[in-house]
Amino acid sequence: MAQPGFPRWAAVLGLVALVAPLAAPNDYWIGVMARICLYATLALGLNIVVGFAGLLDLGYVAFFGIGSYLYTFLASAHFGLHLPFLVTLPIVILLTAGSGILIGAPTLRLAGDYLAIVTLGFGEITYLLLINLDRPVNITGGPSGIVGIDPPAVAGFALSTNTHYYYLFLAALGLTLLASARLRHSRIGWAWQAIREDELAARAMGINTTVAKLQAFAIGASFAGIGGSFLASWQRSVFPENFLFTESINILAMVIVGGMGNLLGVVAGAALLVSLPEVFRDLQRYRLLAFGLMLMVLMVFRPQGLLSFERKESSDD
Amino acid sequence: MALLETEGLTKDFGGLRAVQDLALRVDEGEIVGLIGPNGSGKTTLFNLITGLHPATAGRIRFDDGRRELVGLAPHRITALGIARTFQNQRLFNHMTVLENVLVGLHCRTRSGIASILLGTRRSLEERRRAEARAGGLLSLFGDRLLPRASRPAWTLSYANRRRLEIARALAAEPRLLLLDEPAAGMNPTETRELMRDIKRIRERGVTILVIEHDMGVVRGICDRVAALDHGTKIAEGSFEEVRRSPAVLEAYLGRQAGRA
Repeated sequence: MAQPGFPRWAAVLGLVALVAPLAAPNDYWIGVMARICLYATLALGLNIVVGFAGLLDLGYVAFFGIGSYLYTFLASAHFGLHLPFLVTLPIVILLTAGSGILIGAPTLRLAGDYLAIVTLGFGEITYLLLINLDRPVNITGGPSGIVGIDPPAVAGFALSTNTHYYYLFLAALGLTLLASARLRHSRIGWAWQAIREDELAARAMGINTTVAKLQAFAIGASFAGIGGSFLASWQRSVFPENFLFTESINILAMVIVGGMGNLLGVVAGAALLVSLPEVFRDLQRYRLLAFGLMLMVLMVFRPQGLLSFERKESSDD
Repeated sequence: MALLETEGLTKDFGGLRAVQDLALRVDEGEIVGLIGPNGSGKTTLFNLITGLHPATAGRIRFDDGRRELVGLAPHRITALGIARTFQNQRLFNHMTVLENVLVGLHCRTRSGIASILLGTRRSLEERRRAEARAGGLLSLFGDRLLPRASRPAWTLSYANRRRLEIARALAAEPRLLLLDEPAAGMNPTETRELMRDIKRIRERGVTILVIEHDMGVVRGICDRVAALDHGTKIAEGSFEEVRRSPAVLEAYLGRQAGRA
């Protein structure tokens, strides 16, 4: 049975992604491709909150950080816990989803700019906690982070090369894409979009907006839990600097550039924003300047996003 | 049987008393019209019934006095069987026409996150039934909405948007439907069609309370009419009785005309 939102050409793209490492010029580019999959997963999570439910979350990186550190706590020498990857990942996903509910709950009555500022504050709080929770008891390792994180191992096979990680991240991206598409065309997805379009009307139509918003925060955060676990196990280390405010903006830019609410657009946005700085590497210190200019050009000529299909202009008046 | 009954219903906005000590009764199967000048508290009454505004005082009883609505959250009231349209259309503009109706079905469907993510047969089955049901509701308006089911709602014409609001409200399977100026901005042909549609909805067993300024519509469809002015009920009865009531004439035309 065809999944709505997944046209046949999406399957072709999937096949291309499967053989892509063969075409990569070197291992470095396979690493870039792995990072694209990782960030696309994060962007899909933020897309649930911002693109579907219309809740402008500027502190999404908090969940990315929480996921990374939770994974680190459970699978590193830091606390001496070395839980297997397939045990750790579901625990981290559930706990990060829980953190989404915790952080989402106080923001339920806020909308628009106010919600943006409060979530931004939560992002900063998380970063400050990561930096400062090395005293009196060393929990996060403080500014120097935590090193010596276990690599993922499945059935005795430990992942080591960038190619291994690429396929792991690609599989997760496929699953989060599928999850997003199923939610998008479900009663819960319709409720989210109704809240985005007109919260008052949504309430009057029988939607429990409290529950629906918390569901969006939880699902969005759980994707970041996956991304966080991947980052920690791939880098084999975590640092508070991985989870700065700019990272929230970076992920939000992927969602917006790709086309808010459009799943393949969000993936395309992640691919573009991860690979552009690499393409501009030759420009050396003008790299970020070129990157910024690119974003401006894109927003001027495709304000609706790369792949957000223009709604039919025809009206039946 | 009294489907809806308000008693001593009062709503203050700061120093302004928008609804005052209102007693209104709507019997099952009726179409009741609510008229009154602008600012007389009609839409506020709808907001009180649907729980969007908390009442300052008084009671709202539903289902022959079995349910007290004051203090219930809006989604609970919808689940009990009350749905509405809005005076200034509030469609979900960037969702498709069909999806707008599917939102209305939210409180009549059950699938949770887990079964949706796993794509269980039950959740797929429920979605298929919901889509079929939404299509059926669109077809209530003949070929006005159904052929446009997959278009975004904002592309609809004005009259079709009003029709879609009604279809969306019906999706919640209400026993009582609140219509807030459904004929506003419609041309005479569209208005006639609307009157026929509203009567057809009543035949499906839905009781209707309708705010309307077009007296032709009120005369044509309402079994009973209540008139509000400054938040209080100034007249109630058949359309002719209310139309001849001195208090109503005064409210609409001023004191001199009321005496004349």
